[in-house]
Amino acid sequence: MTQYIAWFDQLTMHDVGLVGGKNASLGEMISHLSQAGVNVPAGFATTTEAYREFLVANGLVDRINHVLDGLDIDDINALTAAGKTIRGWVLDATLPDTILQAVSEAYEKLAAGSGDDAVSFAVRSSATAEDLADASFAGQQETLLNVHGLEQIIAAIKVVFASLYNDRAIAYRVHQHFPHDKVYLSAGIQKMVRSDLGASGVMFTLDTESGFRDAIFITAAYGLGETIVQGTVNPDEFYVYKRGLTAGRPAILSRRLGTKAIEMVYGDKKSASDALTLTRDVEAERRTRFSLSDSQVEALARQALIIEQHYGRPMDIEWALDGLDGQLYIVQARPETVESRANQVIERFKLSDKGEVLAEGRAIGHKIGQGTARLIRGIEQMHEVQSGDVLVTEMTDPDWEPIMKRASAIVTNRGGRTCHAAIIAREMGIPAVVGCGDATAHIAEGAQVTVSCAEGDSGYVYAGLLPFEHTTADTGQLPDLPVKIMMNIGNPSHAFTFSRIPNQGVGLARLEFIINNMIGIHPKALLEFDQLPDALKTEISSRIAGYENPVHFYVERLVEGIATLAAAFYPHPVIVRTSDFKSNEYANLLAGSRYEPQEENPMIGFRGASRYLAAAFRDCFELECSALRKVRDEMG
Amino acid sequence: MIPFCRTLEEAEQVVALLASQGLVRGQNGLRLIMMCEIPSNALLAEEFLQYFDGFSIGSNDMTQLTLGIDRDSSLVSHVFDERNPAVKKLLKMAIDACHKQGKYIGICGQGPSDYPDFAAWLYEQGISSLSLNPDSVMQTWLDLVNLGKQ
Repeated sequence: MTQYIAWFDQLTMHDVGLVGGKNASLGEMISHLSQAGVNVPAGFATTTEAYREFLVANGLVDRINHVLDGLDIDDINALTAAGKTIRGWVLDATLPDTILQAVSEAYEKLAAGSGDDAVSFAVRSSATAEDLADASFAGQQETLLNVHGLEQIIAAIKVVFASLYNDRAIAYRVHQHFPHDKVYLSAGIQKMVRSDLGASGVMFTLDTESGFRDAIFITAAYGLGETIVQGTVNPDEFYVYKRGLTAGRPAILSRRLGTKAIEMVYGDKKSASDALTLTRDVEAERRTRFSLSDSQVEALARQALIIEQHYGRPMDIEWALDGLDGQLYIVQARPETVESRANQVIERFKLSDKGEVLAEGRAIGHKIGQGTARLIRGIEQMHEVQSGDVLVTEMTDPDWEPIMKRASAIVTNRGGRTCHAAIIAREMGIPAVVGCGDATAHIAEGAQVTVSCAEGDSGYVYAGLLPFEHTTADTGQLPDLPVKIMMNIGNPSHAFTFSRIPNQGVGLARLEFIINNMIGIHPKALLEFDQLPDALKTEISSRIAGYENPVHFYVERLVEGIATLAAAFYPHPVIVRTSDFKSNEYANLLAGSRYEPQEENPMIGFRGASRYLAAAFRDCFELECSALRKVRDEMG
Repeated sequence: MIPFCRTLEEAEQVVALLASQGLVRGQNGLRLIMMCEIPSNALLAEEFLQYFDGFSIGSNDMTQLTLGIDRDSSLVSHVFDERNPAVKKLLKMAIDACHKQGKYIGICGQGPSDYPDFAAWLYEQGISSLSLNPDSVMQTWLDLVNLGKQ
C-alpha cells in the first residue's frame, strides 16, 4: 500500500526523497537526538507520494508543465501570471480520499496525544530540493501557524503544496537549473509550540559575521518566530561560548538588548475569516527586558551544540519557547551555508575618511559598498534599482532577491542579524546595514552614499562616496618567527573577526574601550545611583535596561567584553589592561564630570595605579577586579 | 596588566590591592604584567619586577615622558620619535632586566606598528612579543621574515 503520511519519529535524514529536507531533518532530530536532550515537537508529514498523487488525480501535471515550459522568468508580468494561475489550480483541487483518510487518521492520533481539544498546529512546507548545502535561501516556501481542526489542516496542506509555485520559487529553480517537475513537496504537521506566549528565534552554531566556530549566536524576540525570520523586529542577541558550555561553566559571552517592538501572536478566530495570527506592539516594560533568561540562553545553546555535533557541521536552527509549559523546542535545523565556504584569504576593508552619518544599524558582512540610494517601498519599484545602487527600504522580502543581487549595499529600517535581508546579503557577499530604525527618513532618494560594515558590530551609512581601502592577504603563507606576534584590541565586537588573522594572542586588551563603548557611564555614578538626581537616574535606567542593577550592569558588561576576547583568542593568552582613562576621559562618560577633577595635565595626572589606590576611585577599581575574577575563576 | 605605575610603593600597594580582591599573583595561573611606560619603570626595572611577572612597553608614553613632549602640542610634536636614542636606551634597560630575571617582555605601543625599523630593532633586542594593531599584523610579520633572511 502506498504510504501517504510518515511520523517524524520514524524518519531520518535519509528520507529527504520521502518527506523533503526540512521534515527529514526534524525526523532525524526526534529519532536520534531526543535522548540527548534535543526537544522537537511531535508531528507527521505527508509524503511526496501523496503530493504526486494529488497532482495526478486532479489532472494537474501536464497543465502545470505546459505553463512553465514556455515561461520567460525575466518577464516579471508573465512570471506573476503563471504563478498565480498554477497556485489557483492547486488550491481549488481536492485531496483524493485515500490521502484524506491517511491525514485524518494521523491528525486524530496527534491531536489525541496532546490531551487538549484547543491544540493548534503548524503546517510547514518541506521540498525535496530546498536547503541544498549551497543555497540557504531564507523563507523559500510556506509556513502556516495556529492551524485548528482537520478542515483547516487540509486547507493548509494545499496552501503548502501551492507554495512550490511561488514566483520566487519558480524563478529560483530556473536559476539553479532544477527541473520543476523533479521537485516534490511534503507538508509537515506539527504541534504548535506556544511561543505566542513565550519567545522564539534563530541560532547559528558559529558567529555568522566572522565564521568564528567556538561561539553560538542566538537571536530572540517575543511571540512567534516569523517576525525574526522576516526581519520585522530587532531581536535580542546572545553569544555563548561552546567550551564554557561543555565544561558546565557560565558561558554567555555577550548580550545585546533588541528593541522587540512587535510580536506575532494568535488571532482572535472569532470567525472563520479571521487571520490565524496577528502582530501587535510589545508593551514598553517587556521591551526593556531580555526575552530569554541566562539559563534559557544556555539551555538553548546546549541543544544547538548537540545538533551540531550530530550533523558534524555548522547549523542554522530555529527555536521556540513555549509560554505554557516553559520548555524550549527546536522547530527546524539545517546546515549553515555561508561561512562554511570561507577560505584562508583575509579580505579587509577600511574607510580612509569618515563623513556625516545618515543611519546606523547592525553590520552584516565586513565590506564597504557605495552608490546611489534607491528608496524602495515595494516590488513594483523593482525596475528602479540599477546595478551598483544602494537599496534602502523598510525591510526586504524573499520576492526581492533579484533586485538585492543588483545592489552594491542594502540598508533596512527593521531586522536583526538573522533576518531575511541579512541572510541573503551574507549569501550574496553584499554589505548590509539592518535595523537602522529610520534609514528611509534620513537617506534621500538618489543621494550618493557609502555603506560601511568595516567598523565592527555597528554598520553606518555615510553621506557621499567616501574613499576606502580594500586589501586581501593569504594567511596560508606566513612562516614562523622567533618572536610572538600579538594584537592590540579595544572593541570586543571585532574580536571574532580579528582572531582569524594569524596571531599568538592579545598583548593589550583595553578595558577603556569596553567602558566607553559598552558601558558609557562613570562607574561611580553606578555605585552611587541612589544619590543621583532623578533626570540622571532615568537616563541611566534606560541605558542599563535588561540588567539587575547599576553595579551588576557595569560588572557584567566588563565580563562580556573580557570573556569575548578571551574566547576569541583561546588557547592563546589575552593580556587585559585595567582601565587607563585619564581624568578628562573619565569626565566624558555619562555623569563623569560629577566625579572627576579638573586637571591641568591629565596625561601625568590622576591615572593608573595612583588612581586605583586613591580612596575616591578604589571602589570603582574593585568592580574591574570582580569582573576579571568572574571571567577567570567562574568562566575559566 | 597594570598601567602607569609610578613608584615601587605604588607597585607594592596595587599588587596587594589586587590580592585583597581575589586576584592573587600566581594563583590559578594569574600572571601580573606591568606597563613599562614611565622612565622610572625602566630605571628601576629590576626592582619593579619583584612585584610583576613581566613588562609590556608602552612606547608612546615612554617617549613623551623621556623627551618631555606633549604629543598634542603641534609646536613640539615633530620631535616625537620612539626611535630616539634616549628612549631606546631606557627600553634596552627594561628588556635586559626582564631577560635577566627570565620574565615576559613585550611591547603593546603604537611604535612597531608605525615603524618597521623600530619593530626590527626590538626584535634584535630579543623582545618576546610584539603586540600590533590588527591591520599591521600581516605586513609587520612579512617584514620580520625578510629581516630574518638578511
